[in-house]
Amino acid sequence: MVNGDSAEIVVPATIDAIEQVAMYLEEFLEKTEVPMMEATRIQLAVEEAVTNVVMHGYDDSGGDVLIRLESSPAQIAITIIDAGAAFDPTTIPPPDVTADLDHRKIGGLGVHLIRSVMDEVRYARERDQNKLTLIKNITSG
Amino acid sequence: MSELLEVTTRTIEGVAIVDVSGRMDAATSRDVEVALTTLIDGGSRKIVFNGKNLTYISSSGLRVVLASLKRLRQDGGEMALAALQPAPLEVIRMTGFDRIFTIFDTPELAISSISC
Repeated sequence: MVNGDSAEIVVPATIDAIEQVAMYLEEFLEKTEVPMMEATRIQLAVEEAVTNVVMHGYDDSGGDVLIRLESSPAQIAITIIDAGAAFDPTTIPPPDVTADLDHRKIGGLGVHLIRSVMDEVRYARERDQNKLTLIKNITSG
Repeated sequence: MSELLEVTTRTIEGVAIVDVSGRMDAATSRDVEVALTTLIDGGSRKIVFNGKNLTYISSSGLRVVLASLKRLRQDGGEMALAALQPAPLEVIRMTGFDRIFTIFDTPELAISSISC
């Protein structure tokens, strides 16, 4: 694994930017030799987090979202920063994933997936910005 | 249509098969939504979602398949999932969607089950 690699990208908070982020992240994760299944889990968490910014972060005037990627031998850290409305996903209650079809709600599933696939999720509101940090520990082999 | 996702439909023994290849994410899931809505609006009541070449699904993709299943069951129809790869299957299980959908190892098994 490449040590101490980092990269960042700024995209408009739009649905179409999701694919741009996905391709950028895929390239980074390939370079850092993250196992494919773990790479897919990281892709999932980042997409869910960026989608939340796109859907709920900004009003009609729009805005940007920054995604910073950092790798070390032991972990991948992704920081997602936006200047939209304050939103702390760590406070969202878990959805009822045992509900039947009639009572099934789709809301909250994205945050649930982020929590399920990442080892650590941290949120801070700093200088009128949301700063969400996602950590994935990597076990080699 | 996105370069990252391909969706095609075909019919076998009265069952509509939706073959989805690539990524079902917040941007691409719209294409699958259009395909499923077109089938249901056109009268299809039995649908198999073939995930043999689906490499990735997020909550946006789950939203699409859940909405279609709700519509179908309201009309006495059914949708089954088939041939899911490990990553999408993990997402389905983490969200409890394996309690809602019937999942088959192959599209052929799904077709024979829901065509009855």
